[in-house]
Amino acid sequence: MLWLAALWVVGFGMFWQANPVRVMPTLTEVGGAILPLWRAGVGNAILVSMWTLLEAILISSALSLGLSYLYVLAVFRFPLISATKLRFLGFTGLITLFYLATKDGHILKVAVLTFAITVFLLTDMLKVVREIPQERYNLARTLGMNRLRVVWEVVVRGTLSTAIESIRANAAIGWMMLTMVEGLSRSDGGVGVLLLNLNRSRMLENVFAVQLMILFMGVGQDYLIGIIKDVVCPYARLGKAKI
Amino acid sequence: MTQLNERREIVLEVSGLSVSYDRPILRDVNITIRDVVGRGQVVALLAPSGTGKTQLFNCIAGLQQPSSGLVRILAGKELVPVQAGMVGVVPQNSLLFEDRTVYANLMTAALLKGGSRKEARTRILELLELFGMNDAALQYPQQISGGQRQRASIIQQMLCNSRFLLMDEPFASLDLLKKIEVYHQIEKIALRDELNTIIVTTHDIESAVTIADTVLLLGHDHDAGGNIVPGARIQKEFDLIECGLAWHPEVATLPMFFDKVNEIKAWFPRL
Repeated sequence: MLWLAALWVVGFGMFWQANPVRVMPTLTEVGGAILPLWRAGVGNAILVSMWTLLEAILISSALSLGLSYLYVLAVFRFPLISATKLRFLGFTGLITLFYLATKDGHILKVAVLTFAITVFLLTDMLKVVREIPQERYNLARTLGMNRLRVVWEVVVRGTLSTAIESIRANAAIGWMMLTMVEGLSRSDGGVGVLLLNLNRSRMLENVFAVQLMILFMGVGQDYLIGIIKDVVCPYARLGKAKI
Repeated sequence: MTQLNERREIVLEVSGLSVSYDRPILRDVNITIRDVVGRGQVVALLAPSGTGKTQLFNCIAGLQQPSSGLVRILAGKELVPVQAGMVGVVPQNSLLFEDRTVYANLMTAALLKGGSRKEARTRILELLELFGMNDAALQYPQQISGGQRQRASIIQQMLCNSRFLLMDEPFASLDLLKKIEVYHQIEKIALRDELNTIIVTTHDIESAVTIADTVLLLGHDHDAGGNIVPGARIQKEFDLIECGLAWHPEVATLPMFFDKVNEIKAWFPRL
């Protein structure tokens, strides 16, 4: 299958390079911009952004998973479901609240990213917890488990692989929001700030070179979370269809 | 003096059990199961679809509170109200914890029962051997066959609940050879302890008569106009020990076996 993927990548590269509609720089122009950018310190900017994102992913994962597990208690259901609706909110106005509530730029960025990832991850996780079949709870109860143990075995352990998969899917939102979020406080730097600066000066080949790097970082992040899932939940790989 | 197959003290009693939601599902269900001398016993609960079999099943397992009535089981020397964890349940899809191996599933169950890890290991290995599951012990549930899942599920419940086991549709979609395999598994459980009681729900009349000592028919009453009265209850009880049809390997070859199967079949449309 790897050769087929490689074929698609090569095909896409050729199409990009040869595309007669010149709305964006060619592949060689973008490729040629990578090395100078690297020498100018884009690596540092990526590290700054990665650190910000990692913090946001870890906090939002802990928050979303913890909150979703509370769904088993009827008293929390309404506020939890309501919280998922916050994903429809725009950031205008909301950002001011974050500005007022946070002490420095870094915390502000982590807070906004955490909020954005959490509302989506919580939506996914609540669906997972809601869809646990009653039979699974019954199994735990027939074995004589107390309520806390039932929640641990069925809700926490039983949904772990799906939880990691949800984190994997929703962590990507962080990269998408990076430019907007890092634009809120530029003093820390980061790849989002770099993109904004390059875009303002219309250096499109540089912009797309950075975008390409972000894409690779995102794919790497996806792959890494996949490996974590395989290590933590080896059973999740079993029984998957091999086409 | 007690004789083999003689019925003695009550081991499970369902009295006046009713379950209603917006309409009655079960109405005044009464079941009395007595200990059979010399071996464990199998009770088959036959019911057409939609008669509240699952609700009765859950009430007997202590997983659901009935609207009224009581389920009591023998614990020590007296009958006590049933609670979740006192009766083992093997559902139709033979649930196991998918995130751990068969052995780890069994260890979880055994440790919940109490005792040391070493004792648990000894019991698990003994039951794995008894059910021919040694090879599957280190596999995950997703890696084993449906039959092996069922056996693992039985062992898991046996480790936790020593006396009572409910099996939901254990013969569903099985060919004859697989059914015989399941008969033998049930027989193994029954033979392990005189007080073991296995309640099997099924639509399969022949399997029920083959394996059971008692067959209970759950169904609806009909009014004078032939209309169904809401709320199912036990319509008929067949004591197969009394009829000479207590389980043994050749039971299905006896002429009276077919008579009993036909008698029950004749009852079915009335349920």
